[in-house]
Amino acid sequence: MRNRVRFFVKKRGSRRTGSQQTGSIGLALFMAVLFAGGWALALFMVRTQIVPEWRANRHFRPSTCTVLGKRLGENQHEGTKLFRPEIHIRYEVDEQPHETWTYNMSQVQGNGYSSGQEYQQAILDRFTIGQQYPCWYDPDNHDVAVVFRSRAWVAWSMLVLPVSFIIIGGSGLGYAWVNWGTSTERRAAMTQQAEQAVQLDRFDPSVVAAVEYPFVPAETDMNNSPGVKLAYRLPVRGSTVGAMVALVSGTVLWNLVGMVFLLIAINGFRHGEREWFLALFLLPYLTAGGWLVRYTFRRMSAYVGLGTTLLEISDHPLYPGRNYQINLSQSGWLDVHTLQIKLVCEERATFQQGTNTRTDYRRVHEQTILSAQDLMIRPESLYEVDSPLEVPAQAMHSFKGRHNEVSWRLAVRGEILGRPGFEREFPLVVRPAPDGSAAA
Amino acid sequence: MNGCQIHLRIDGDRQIFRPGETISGTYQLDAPRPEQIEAVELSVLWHTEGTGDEDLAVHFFERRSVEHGAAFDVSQPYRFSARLPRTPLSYDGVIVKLHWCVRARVFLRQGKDVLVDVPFQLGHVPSARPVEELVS
Repeated sequence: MRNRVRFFVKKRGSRRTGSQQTGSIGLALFMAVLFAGGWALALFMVRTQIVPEWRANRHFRPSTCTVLGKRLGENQHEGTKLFRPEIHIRYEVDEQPHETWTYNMSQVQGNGYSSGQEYQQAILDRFTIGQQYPCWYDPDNHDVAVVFRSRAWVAWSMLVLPVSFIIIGGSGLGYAWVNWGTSTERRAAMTQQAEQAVQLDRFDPSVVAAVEYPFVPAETDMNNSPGVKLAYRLPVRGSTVGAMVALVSGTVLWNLVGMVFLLIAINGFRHGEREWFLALFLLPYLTAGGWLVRYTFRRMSAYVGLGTTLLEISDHPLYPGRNYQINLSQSGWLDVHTLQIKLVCEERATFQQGTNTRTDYRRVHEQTILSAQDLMIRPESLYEVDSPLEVPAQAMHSFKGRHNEVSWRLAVRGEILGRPGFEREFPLVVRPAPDGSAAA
Repeated sequence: MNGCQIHLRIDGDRQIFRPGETISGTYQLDAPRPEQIEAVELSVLWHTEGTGDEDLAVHFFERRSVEHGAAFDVSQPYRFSARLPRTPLSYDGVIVKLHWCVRARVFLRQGKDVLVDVPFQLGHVPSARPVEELVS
């Protein structure tokens, strides 16, 4: 029972983490500050920038002025010099002369300073003393006039920042209000209802599967490729090409940078400018670069000559206690010492540790389906084999939650003579037995 | 705690269910001051336990609340009934465990709440062991 706000809650073992309630209070306070700050900034901008500029564009009346003088106004702000152009003009309203120092509405409001001295000077240089220029005066106060008006959208665009604060802060406050005092179960129920409501295509096979077998991954991605010999060709997990490209690019870049610094260091030593710190830094750096090159070559040699691994299955998804057929074909130029297919079940658990996200894995089932030795695979004669596959009668079905998962796969593993081996994984979906239990 | 208690019971005191079966039972509140009860929620849910952060999903949810000033009726038991889904089944894994339960939660006017869980098992999945342990 909740009696008071607890700042820390012991989660499990020796790991302590912040309490949800404290987090909610902190979030609400932060969002409230953001919301209030957004409104304050928006009102300030409207009052000091947007409304005056809008009046200058819509209500000020045009006239003609004569430039009597000009200067670069200066101001100090936190040790930085700021500047603004100041034009001395004379103009007439109803045959009455008026004089003022001005440029734009920001200046009329008492500001208009910025740090770009050259830019402000360039503005001044556009005005010539004695010449006439258009100006606009305030019909409500004839002493106020400007020689430059910003475009209306410029002033309005300044509201983007405070409006975003208001939206984010307001949404956050609404979220905190709705969830305050709401139980975990009620929040989960509302979230699930909302997710079901937005499922537009209720005839989509993946949606139907999710309704029939909640939290079991949909098998549609695995069933959309028909096999040649058996019903389905299983997709392989992950792409080795992308990983190899990233590894090669990283190795080349690392060593290129090392070479550049090495040349700088050598050049320095030759000219008597001995950079000992650079030399000491390069020692481990180039050592790592050499290791990267060796590692990259080993990985590349593992894939040279390794062709395509295709795995087909007689039916999918799978059910505990049932028998299936699989067909493996492996192409390439390989002298295989051992080739195995294993049925693997693995648990995956993801958790937050501070700001890091960590994932733990644990295999809970590993069963060799097929094992072959001493194979010579050549491009003209690929290796092909059929094998039965029985899913254990007591198998847990596939399960996928946001942080926890139970997954099944077929792993094809090969040991190659004189080279690193390879492993390719083919995900599977296992459902509970149709009679309603794990054991058929 | 204000002495508020929840009596939550599954019909037949059953502890194991098969997917697709109906789970039913009753819950009754025992409170010396029923006017302090603001609402009661009854859920049939599953949640995970283990190394990973908790996942939780509610399969059945109902909430009964009273108007401000009115008293909750504690004289009668309330019934609940829900048809259980096919998945996920209860699971006792190595780093991932999945538990089903019926949960009743009472909200009191001072912002406090009382919670009771009655666990049950869905399906018959045996406990899992890590592969290293299986090999040794």
